[in-house]
Amino acid sequence: MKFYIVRAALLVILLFAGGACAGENTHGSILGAWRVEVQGMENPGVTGVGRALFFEPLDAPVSDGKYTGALELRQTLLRGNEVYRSYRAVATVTGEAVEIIMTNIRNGFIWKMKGKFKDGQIRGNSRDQLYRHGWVTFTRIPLEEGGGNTSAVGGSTSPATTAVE
Amino acid sequence: MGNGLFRNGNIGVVLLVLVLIGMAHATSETAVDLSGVWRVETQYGAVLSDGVATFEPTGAGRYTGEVQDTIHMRTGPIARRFSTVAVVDGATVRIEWTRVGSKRSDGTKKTIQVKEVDGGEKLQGMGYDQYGTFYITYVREHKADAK
Repeated sequence: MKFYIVRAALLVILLFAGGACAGENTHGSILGAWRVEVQGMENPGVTGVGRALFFEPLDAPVSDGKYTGALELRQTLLRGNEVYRSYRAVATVTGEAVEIIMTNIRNGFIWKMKGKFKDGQIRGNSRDQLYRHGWVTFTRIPLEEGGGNTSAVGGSTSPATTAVE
Repeated sequence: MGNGLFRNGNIGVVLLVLVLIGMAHATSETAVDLSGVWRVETQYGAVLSDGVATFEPTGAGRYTGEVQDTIHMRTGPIARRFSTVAVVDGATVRIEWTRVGSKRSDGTKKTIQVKEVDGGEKLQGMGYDQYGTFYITYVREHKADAK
């Protein structure tokens, strides 16, 4: 009797395992929408909050671990003034490790982040081209969240109001 | 050991069938039918656009179409046109807009991902292009009843 109970339990586990294998595997995948939080290491008062998007393009299947996307940040600088910045992003995913290179769309300024997938987040540190360091956290947000509301970047002022056309 | 269904000879087949049932259950989402006319709106921060999108099926969950919209810039409205390609994957739709008919921006692309809400009457999601990220909503356009 005990033998059959063990077998039945095994069957149930395998059934769920089959479902899990077929479902969307988001662990270790950078595709989708993320809330982004940044804090300066040398200057913890310098912070940023925003969103990043990485979608697989239709005409260029991702095969080499590189993903293109975009990132926007509302940054609070040392004197408390805020700036909006938009970046092109290229992420390279190698197993659980992620490296993202972000290029400011207006002035070409580059910063890089190195991190790891952990607990549904990507956590790591960054360095910009002036060798300033920061902590960066990406947290998943649903794609359909906040439609019509720029809550992820904390305001209604576009960082690209003169260039979106 | 065991008898009937759980004899050693059958157990592997039973397990395989159950795993396949589990996989089929997890992937069984109703695909969105994009065919027809949609109202489409985008929002880049304070900059809004609105227009009309059409989709025609090309088979295997793929669609081609066109978007004609107006973006309301601070400097004034600009009419735009895009050719579009969409791929439906269950309740998720990946769409690419390619700008046409503009000397400056011809060929530039927007990469979009939306999910169906309201029973497929609305698609909502986000996209990005060379300038940044934006929200996007498609709402199915209902034609007036022919009388």
